[in-house]
Amino acid sequence: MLESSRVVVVGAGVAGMSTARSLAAAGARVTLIEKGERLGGMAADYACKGTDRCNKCNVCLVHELVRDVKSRPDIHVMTGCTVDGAEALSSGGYRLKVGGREVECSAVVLATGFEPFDASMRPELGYGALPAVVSALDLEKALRDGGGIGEKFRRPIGKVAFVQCVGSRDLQRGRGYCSRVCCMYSLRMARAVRHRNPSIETTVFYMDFQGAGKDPGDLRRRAEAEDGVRFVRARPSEVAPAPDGRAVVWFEDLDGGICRPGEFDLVVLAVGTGPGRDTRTLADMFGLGLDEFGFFAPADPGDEAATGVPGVFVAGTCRGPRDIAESVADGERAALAVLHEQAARRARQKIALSLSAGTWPGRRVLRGQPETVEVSSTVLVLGGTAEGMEAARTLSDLGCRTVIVGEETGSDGDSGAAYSLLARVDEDSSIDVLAGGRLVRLDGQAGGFRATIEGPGGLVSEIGAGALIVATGYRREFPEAARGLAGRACVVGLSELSRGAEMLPTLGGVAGDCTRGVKIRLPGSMGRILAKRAPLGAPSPHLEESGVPWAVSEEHGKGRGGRRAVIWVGVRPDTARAVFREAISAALSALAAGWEVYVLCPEVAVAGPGDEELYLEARRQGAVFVKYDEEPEVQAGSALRVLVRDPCLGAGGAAASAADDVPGLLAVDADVLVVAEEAYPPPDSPELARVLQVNTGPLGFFQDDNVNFLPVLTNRRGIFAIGGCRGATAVADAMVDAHVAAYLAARLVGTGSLHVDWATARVDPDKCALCLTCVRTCPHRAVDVDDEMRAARISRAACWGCGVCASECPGKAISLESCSDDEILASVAPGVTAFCCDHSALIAAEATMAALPTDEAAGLNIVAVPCTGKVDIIHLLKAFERGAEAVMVAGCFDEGCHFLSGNRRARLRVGQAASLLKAVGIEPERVRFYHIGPDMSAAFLEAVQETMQVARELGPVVRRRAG
Amino acid sequence: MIVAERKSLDEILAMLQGCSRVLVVGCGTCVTVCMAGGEKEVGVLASLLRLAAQREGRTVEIGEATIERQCEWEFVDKLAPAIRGYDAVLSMGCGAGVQTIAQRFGGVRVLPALNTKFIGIPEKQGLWVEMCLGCGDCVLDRTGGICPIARCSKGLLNGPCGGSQGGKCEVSKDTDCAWQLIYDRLASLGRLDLLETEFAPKDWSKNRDGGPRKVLREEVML
Repeated sequence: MLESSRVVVVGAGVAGMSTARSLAAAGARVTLIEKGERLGGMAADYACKGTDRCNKCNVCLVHELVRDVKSRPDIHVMTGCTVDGAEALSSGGYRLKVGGREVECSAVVLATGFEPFDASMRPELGYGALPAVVSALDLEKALRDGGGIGEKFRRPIGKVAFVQCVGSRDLQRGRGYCSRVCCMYSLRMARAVRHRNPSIETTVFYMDFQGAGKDPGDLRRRAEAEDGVRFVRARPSEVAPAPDGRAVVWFEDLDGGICRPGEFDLVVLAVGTGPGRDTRTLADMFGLGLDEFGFFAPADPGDEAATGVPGVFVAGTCRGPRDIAESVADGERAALAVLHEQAARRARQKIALSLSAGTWPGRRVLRGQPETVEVSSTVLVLGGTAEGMEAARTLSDLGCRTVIVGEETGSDGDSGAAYSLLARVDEDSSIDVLAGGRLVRLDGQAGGFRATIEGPGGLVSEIGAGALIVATGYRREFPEAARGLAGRACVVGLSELSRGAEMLPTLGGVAGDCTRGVKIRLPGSMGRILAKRAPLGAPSPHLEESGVPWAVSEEHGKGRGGRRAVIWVGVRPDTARAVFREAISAALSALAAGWEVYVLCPEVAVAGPGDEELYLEARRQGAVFVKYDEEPEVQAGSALRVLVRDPCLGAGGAAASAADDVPGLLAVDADVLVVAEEAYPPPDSPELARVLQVNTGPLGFFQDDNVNFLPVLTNRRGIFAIGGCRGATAVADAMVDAHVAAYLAARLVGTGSLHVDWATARVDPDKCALCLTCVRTCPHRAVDVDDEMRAARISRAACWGCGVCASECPGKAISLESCSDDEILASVAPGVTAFCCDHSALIAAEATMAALPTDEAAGLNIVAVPCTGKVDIIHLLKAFERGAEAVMVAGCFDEGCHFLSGNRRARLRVGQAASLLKAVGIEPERVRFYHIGPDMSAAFLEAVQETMQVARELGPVVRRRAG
Repeated sequence: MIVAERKSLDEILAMLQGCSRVLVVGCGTCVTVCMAGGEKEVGVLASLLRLAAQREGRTVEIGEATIERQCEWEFVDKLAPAIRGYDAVLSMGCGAGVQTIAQRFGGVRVLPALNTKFIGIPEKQGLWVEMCLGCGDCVLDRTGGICPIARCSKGLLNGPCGGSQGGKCEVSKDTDCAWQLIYDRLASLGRLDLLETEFAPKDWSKNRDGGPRKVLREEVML
């Protein structure tokens, strides 16, 4: 149905390319317009930050997107042009003026990206004036170009400082929002810098750590413990020149409260994300709204891709800061929104996907024999969470029948959003709900799953489904440090508070009129610092400096009606990102009800859209935020007292003994303690993961910790994990998951047939010994046992085509289409053979080959493989038999393999080959493994030259007998 | 299944001294499944033998073949055309396979590439453990399905011994005490009473007494 309608995507950055790819996959014709001369946008300049393993920076996704987009004939790319005018057509589309030409389209997706903050706008930080001061983007480019950063910046570098929040969370410059990505990119860059040069010391000056990803707390801990990255909570006020081109960072040391200098060889400013330069022009052209910071604003918070103007959609960082994976997801969602509108425009209730059978983004290099497989278009949603119901509703729009299995309740992760969805789910005839059902068994593969559901009372039913969406949410439980407090009368969980309509007033009965106070131990003359800590806009009750050890602030409490709540958000960074907004909302409600509020937390998590504003509002209204670095102590006897040390108020945490001697210690007598719960997977998660044969990742949540699976893929095709089940997720993010998963599931099975044209592994049943090696090693669980044939059977729909099984099969009964042993070995010739992963090293190699001198290039045989996991040990040995002098295998970083374990298996085989070669008298260093990211052409070149050097030094394997 | 393990390359190269035409023969049954002697391992070993020769400047011809089971005459017969002209056959089968080929092809040296280890299972991918000694007189009915002959380091019938510490055998902390396992299993089955009956000394006549053992079934004979 989309054949006659072209969609124009403006901006070939991450979100634009993702939108274009997604629309094309659904059958649309796409024109992708890019202002610059190349695809990739800002992110094309970023560097892979892999160390010994993948650090989840997502940069590799950009390079793959570029290649995907370039390889699609149904995406027409126009570079070097802008949209200079737009005329609305009566059909609902637009006629755009693009570089002097006219392009008619049915819809426009604006994905024009962001503009990094110009660090010279903060002259006190020395950018542009001091040679030692660079922006994070400068460092990205330096890292990408390879080599030492010292050579790049032409100076010896021993100490590097990262200064966070440059152009973010900055009210003075009208940028009162968090840029969401800088903490993580600085952390990863610090690790990458240390990895490349272990003698470099790195320090990160930051305000609040905004963690993202599966387990950012762990990444930070490892950065500190393994790489010695030092975190200093400070917002440097000035960067001054120092001798030898160095720079001095002046920062306020909380330990003592004085300004200290720190001398560094390189100061990296973590510049924030601002609205793109074209945003205003395009907003005027299409009549779109902007938010107060200049980003495109959604007209309807529930449908963020839509702009309120028919035919115009927005995606990616042009509507606010987001990381690469989020931008990819945003592109998918924008594509879905376009399809949705086009269906509505044709007065069809449901979206028909492309009329041909469903497709799956196959891999470029390897095509298999085309085949159309009948699939079930029913999608099973596990879990009646808000995200589960939203996925079901979206699938219904996409023409799929859905069965929701699970209780009709919100997961612990969402606050009531589920209830508003229930009605819509209830009245939708294409959604069935099996309340109280539980998946106990799953047979079959993508397109043809058979799910055994045990209902209440032991009733068992079997449901056929083409795809499954896991939406079981997350469980919330008091964090370890507060677990003993659960159940106390004056202690309440944050999620209970959020769900209860009455909120705080019902808890007021604990103590009606609190006359107790907040005591603060004042060391020396702390008034100056206290002034800073006072709630914004409110007269501080704590300002009186006195000789007495405790300054009592009873007035504060009395002034607010005498009720005081402490909200303790002592959760991991991943949970904090999901629940902090909830905590601030609770604080605001309590403030509105006349309560005095203290929020205790290690970090203020404000990376979500609007979170910083909400946080500032809470402070304006008088909430006191204490950012502690030692867990608070709660005394919950007959009265409730919370002891917490505010590092801003004094020095010497280590010397602390009795409470009264600890400077900066607050003793808050409170009526209610609200504890923000930590996120955990639901108790039956391990069992469900086993039944589904789906991997879990850090902290036991669903989904591997691997960027290629973001946002919603699991190791099995046709099974998606969304929202809280894959980690603590804010409601808005869970909805994105729901839309993306519904869309991907519909693209896979929505038409009832699936067109398989990608290369898959095939079993020769005569050779199969049923050893089960393939069943066990397939990362995607695509192999079953065919009881009739008495052989392994690989589902074409479920196979990802990595070839790991083919290389592990001890009976050589499995081969990968278009990539048989003979085809691989045909490329092997004397000289150096490099087996390159199609997803990483091969992309790097394409850029490298041009840089290689002709004589060297002649001696290099590059063998493309879909995954290094396809490289069989036999290939390595045969390469030497055929005259190779050295062999290298180059693939993704650990935890970054597209097929999860292929690169790890390849590395094991390289190790095995080395020891076997040694056993027959051949130098083991002739066979080598390298981790190469797709953007690491410099590193690839180094690897090739190193391997060639080995080959030159060792000469041919064959030693002719003298005479 | 029968679990085997490849001999060291030094040992294999030493036994092939003087052979310039070698046929490496794999077996498609047990040793394929235990990843010691299937078609893939044949390819790896053959390749290594060629490389070793190349390295020393020798000319060799290394052939590769894998048959369904080296322990069956009919399958071994299929090697007949392939085997001609080779100085030696390097069998990647278990001991039974090596001997079957040797018996069938009298004129050629048949050499073992594997050490046949035991009857066992893959406890997990890449780790095989011994489960059965083939003692000829199974006692698993009385021991909760856990074999004390194969899995107790001492093969005790009335264990455990004093070397059982924290559920582990004194021989190695990686080895479970079989008698601890037996006790736990019987306890969970509510059959600890089985332990009250002492095992009489084992009748080893069913094992190796009288030389190599035979199983004769007249009703299936032709």
